[in-house]
Parts: sequence; structure tokens; C-alpha cells
Amino acid sequence: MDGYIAKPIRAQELFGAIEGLLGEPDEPVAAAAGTPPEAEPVDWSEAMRSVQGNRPLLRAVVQAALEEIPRLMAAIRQSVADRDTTRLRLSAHTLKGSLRCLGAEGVFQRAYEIEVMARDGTLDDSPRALELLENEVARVIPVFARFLERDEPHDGR
Amino acid sequence: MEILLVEDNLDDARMTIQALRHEGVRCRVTLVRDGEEAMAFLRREGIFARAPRPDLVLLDIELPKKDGRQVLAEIRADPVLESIPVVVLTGSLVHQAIFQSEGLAVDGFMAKPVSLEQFVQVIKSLHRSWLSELILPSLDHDSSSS
Repeated sequence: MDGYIAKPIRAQELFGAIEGLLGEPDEPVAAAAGTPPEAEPVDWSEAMRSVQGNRPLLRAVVQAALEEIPRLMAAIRQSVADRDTTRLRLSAHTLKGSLRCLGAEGVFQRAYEIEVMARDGTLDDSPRALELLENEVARVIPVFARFLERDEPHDGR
Repeated sequence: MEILLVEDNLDDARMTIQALRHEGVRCRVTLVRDGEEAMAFLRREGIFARAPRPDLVLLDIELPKKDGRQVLAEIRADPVLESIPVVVLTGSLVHQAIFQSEGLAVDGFMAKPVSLEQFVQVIKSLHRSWLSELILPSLDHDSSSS
């Protein structure tokens, strides 16, 4: 199986596998403008740990995330608009859990904030929290999409 | 029929139990709130010495002390418990992909909030027809006569 690491996982093997699947790193954001670069939206080492070094599984999980993020974000937007705390809590909770597996810490944090607001029934700041979540999701989606493009299986690989 | 619900969130547990309160569903639900308690119940340890063997486990993923992944792995590794059907409570496609890849023989997934319709659908899809017949006799009759 291509890209598989047997347990126990050793750090050097893990990072070697991550480098192999990611290719060249993305260009640093805003480096030329002299502003501090933003943190990477996805921690691939965390993502690889979640799938125990199984590269085909990582691909399947990233595909699953790209499929479910729009559905969950639509549910979160609608729940904020409707002030539906139960649906908002569950949707934010699901998004938080899914994206944490993939090392998307920013989305995890923003989704967690919304989950807590919904749990406590304090939704006054939820539109602003939603905006921050949208920003984080917008950073993560292209990273996942690029990963799938680079990791496209083809003959001879 | 005995159902063990492993869920740390009381709101979610209440919603699940309410969904199963239907005259067509013949079951008794026991709630435990973390992974260690779930394993103690299943192994009849300590205060659970006289616990019934569940016919079905409804398992949340994010649990204190021992998460759902660990609980399921321990159930499947235990020759006494391995045949108990386990339905994982998640609507996350990411979690479903990870669980399915690990060869832990998940019997089904249900998104929260659990609804009666979703429960019936999952129970009927299990490869254990006896379970469906025992838990849902009235509902089976309703659906076959409609």
C-alpha cells in the first residue's frame, strides 16, 4: 500500500511521508508585503496522525471533508439566522470534530466558539463568530483542494 | 431489548431517548457518560456487576476518559463482547471514513439529533435481522402492511 506507515509511528517516518505527499510547500502568505505570515490553516502532521499514516485514507478523509463542509456551513448559517440553538450546536460540533481530525485548528477554534454560544443560548455575537468561521473555512478549502490535486493517483506512482 | 447509550452530553442523550420513546420500539435504554464507564458496564465490573448484556450499543465519539474509537476497539478485541452490534453516533463523513477504515466492524452510523426514522432505518439495515424483529416488531408490521 502506497504511503502507509506501520504502527508504532515514528516521527521521522511520519514527516517523511508528509513531505512526500505534499510536494513543495505553499508560498508564504503576505511575506512580500512585510506583514507577518499567517499560520498555516492545516497542520498536516496532525492529519497524518489521525489516519495513522495511511495516505489513501487521508485522501478519502479530505474528500469527505470537502463534501461535508458546504453542507455543515449551510446548516450553521441557517441556524444562526433562525436562532436555532440545537441545530447550531450540533452542526458546529460536527464541523469542529471533522476538521480537528484534519489539523485545521483555526476552523476547530471558531466552530468551538459557536458551539459554546449555542450550548449556552447566547447567540448575540453569533453573526460575528460566523464571519470569523467563514474566513477560516475559506482558508482551508483551497488547501484541501490543492492536496487532492497533488495527490491525484496515476500510473507509475 | 437492552440498549446501552454511551453519550456524555445530556441534551443529546435526552433527544436520543425521546426519539426511541415510541410504542413500536421495545427497548430499555441505559445511559453511561464516558468510555471507561461504558467498558465497566459491558464487562460487568464494580457497580455494574449485575448489568444486562446490551443487544445494541449507541456510541458517541467524543467521550471523556476513553473516546469512542478506543471503546469500539476494545469491544471488538474482546471475545465476549465482539458480537454486540455498535452504531456510532456521528453525522461526520470524516469520522465515518476513519471508523470504516479501521476494520472495527461498525454496524451503522446515526447523525445527531437521533430521530425515530433514522433509528428504524439503521436497525433494519443491520445484518442481524433478529435484532430488527425484536426491537421493532410493531414498526415492521406497520411498514409491511402499508
